[in-house]
Amino acid sequence: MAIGFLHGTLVFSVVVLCAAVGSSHAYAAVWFTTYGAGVLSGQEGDASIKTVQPYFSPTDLFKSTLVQPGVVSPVPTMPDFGYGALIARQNYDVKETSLAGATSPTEDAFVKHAEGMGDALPEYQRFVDAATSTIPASCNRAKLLTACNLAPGIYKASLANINSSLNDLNGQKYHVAPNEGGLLILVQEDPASTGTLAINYNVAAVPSAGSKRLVLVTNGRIAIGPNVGTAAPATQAAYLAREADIQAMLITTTTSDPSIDVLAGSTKSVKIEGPLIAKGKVRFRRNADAGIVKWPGVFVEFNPMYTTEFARLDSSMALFGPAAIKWTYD
Amino acid sequence: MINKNCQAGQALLLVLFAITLGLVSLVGVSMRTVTSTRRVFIDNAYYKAQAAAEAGAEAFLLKANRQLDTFLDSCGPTKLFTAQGFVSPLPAVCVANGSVVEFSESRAVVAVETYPASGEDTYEVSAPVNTALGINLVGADSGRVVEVCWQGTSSTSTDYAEILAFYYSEAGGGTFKLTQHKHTCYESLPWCSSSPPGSYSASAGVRDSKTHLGEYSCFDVPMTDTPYLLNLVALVNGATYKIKFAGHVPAQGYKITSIGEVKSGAATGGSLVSSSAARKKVVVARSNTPRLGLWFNFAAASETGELVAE
Repeated sequence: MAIGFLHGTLVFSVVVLCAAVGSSHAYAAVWFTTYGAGVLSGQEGDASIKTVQPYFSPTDLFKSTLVQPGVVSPVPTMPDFGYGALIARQNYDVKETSLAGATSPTEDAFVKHAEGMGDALPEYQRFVDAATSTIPASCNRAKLLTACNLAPGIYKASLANINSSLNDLNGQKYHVAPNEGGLLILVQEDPASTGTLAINYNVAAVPSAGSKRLVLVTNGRIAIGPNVGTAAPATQAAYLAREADIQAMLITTTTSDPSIDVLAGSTKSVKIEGPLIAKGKVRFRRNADAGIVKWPGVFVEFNPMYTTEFARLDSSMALFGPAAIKWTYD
Repeated sequence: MINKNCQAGQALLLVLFAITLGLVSLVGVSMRTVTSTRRVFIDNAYYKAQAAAEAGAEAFLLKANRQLDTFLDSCGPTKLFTAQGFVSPLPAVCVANGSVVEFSESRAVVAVETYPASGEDTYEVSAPVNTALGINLVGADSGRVVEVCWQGTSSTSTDYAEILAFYYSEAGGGTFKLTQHKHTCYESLPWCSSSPPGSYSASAGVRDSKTHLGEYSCFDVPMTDTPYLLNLVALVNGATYKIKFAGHVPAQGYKITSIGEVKSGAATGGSLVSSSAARKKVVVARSNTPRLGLWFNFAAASETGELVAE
């Protein structure tokens, strides 16, 4: 009896000790990472790109770098520009935590200072002007993404209707009608609004949508709420393979601080399809500390589909406008 | 008596001389006025024709690619212009399509053709610093390479000339791929530094260009899957490019030729219709790929703000 009690106590003590050791490996800080492409900031001043990455062992799939090499074989030796680049107008502050808890700069793929950005985001009004697709009169405008089966195109909708439609995704996925083109673009039609475009639930496409995707364009803030995300899967490989929690491209032309805000309030890790484009600050506040395994609060996975489809779309919409190459007179 | 007659004759001569001088001056002033009026008229006609030509070109620059495509086959320059002026009558399909841009005292006739021209395999273009230049690869031959030759302005010791290449392709099944490369300039060229700075060594993904074409540094972009788009970003320097295709050459844009002409009776001072003074030509080449900007090549981007985990 006594021996049994002692044995039980010993086992309990070992379990507690292991748990304590395990939790000491947990990374209780906020960090983010990207996959498939890099990060760009045009902010003047210090630390325009700032994150502190946790320590990962060499055998881990995740790396401490901001741009993840992902699943490639053989195991890649970072850094390589092929995974993505960090472009900062001036300075950046990307560090990793060592086993001892100290931090040091990461060896990221490619870092470059770019003195000023030659390009500018299109004016918000250009998106509004280009939104010429018509929402059917029979469509419930509070359920644009679930009840209307909108075809790819550029549509105007009020912020209230966009938010209602996003809230309708609680337990549902969005629909895109099979038609030419790949992007269903919703543009907030009341540019003077100071409201926030609120994403409170995962934004995923129904399987029949295939590679078609949603694009949200606003002149206000974008807030991604605590319900968005997924509890961390069993392995890092499973994490990389799973679908994004937000299968949509987000564009905001506001310079509000922040322009895009991933809120804290849960330990779910948020996987977003990029490009994620803002005129102002982008803030990631999610802490997805899940114990021994370290997960990013935000994981932005670049989807090249958006870039190719925007280029294709512009052939008919002239949304971004082409560059005049040269003029000659005679 | 004789003296009085002589004095009268002299006075008459003086009067006649004064009258003659006045008439000559008057004629001179008159001719100068006519010449000046004529010159002003010619100047006005010149500027009206120039303005009409530019307005016609501007009107076509605003058209979307699909609209411009409708002009390519039937409304090229040879269908609209001859050495003597406009084709008369202008093809009805072009007039109906909008090739003629009318103004109150002038008009422009606008022709559209692809750029680069048929038979040319090289596309020449320039782009400002830190901007993304889009190269259309739709229809390019997969399995071949597109040769990118570029020339930047002189680098400083701390700003090594580099270029980023973002190659987009469709891999089938609705999936798309991005392949990224970075290249440094050909070391022996005067605008290129002698060697990459240590922090940008080969281990950082730098791929030195090993060939050059004159003053241009060159590298190849292998085209895999179904080629779609190539974005080029020259960092630190603005750049001029010579982009050479093997096999099919995808159209890179449109060459828009606009000829402005003053209409008959548009102004006093005589007719100048069909004279070179009243007809001006403007040619503008326009890309067919949108200027998406740097942002679309990054997972997360901010134009003016920071990206921070806090």
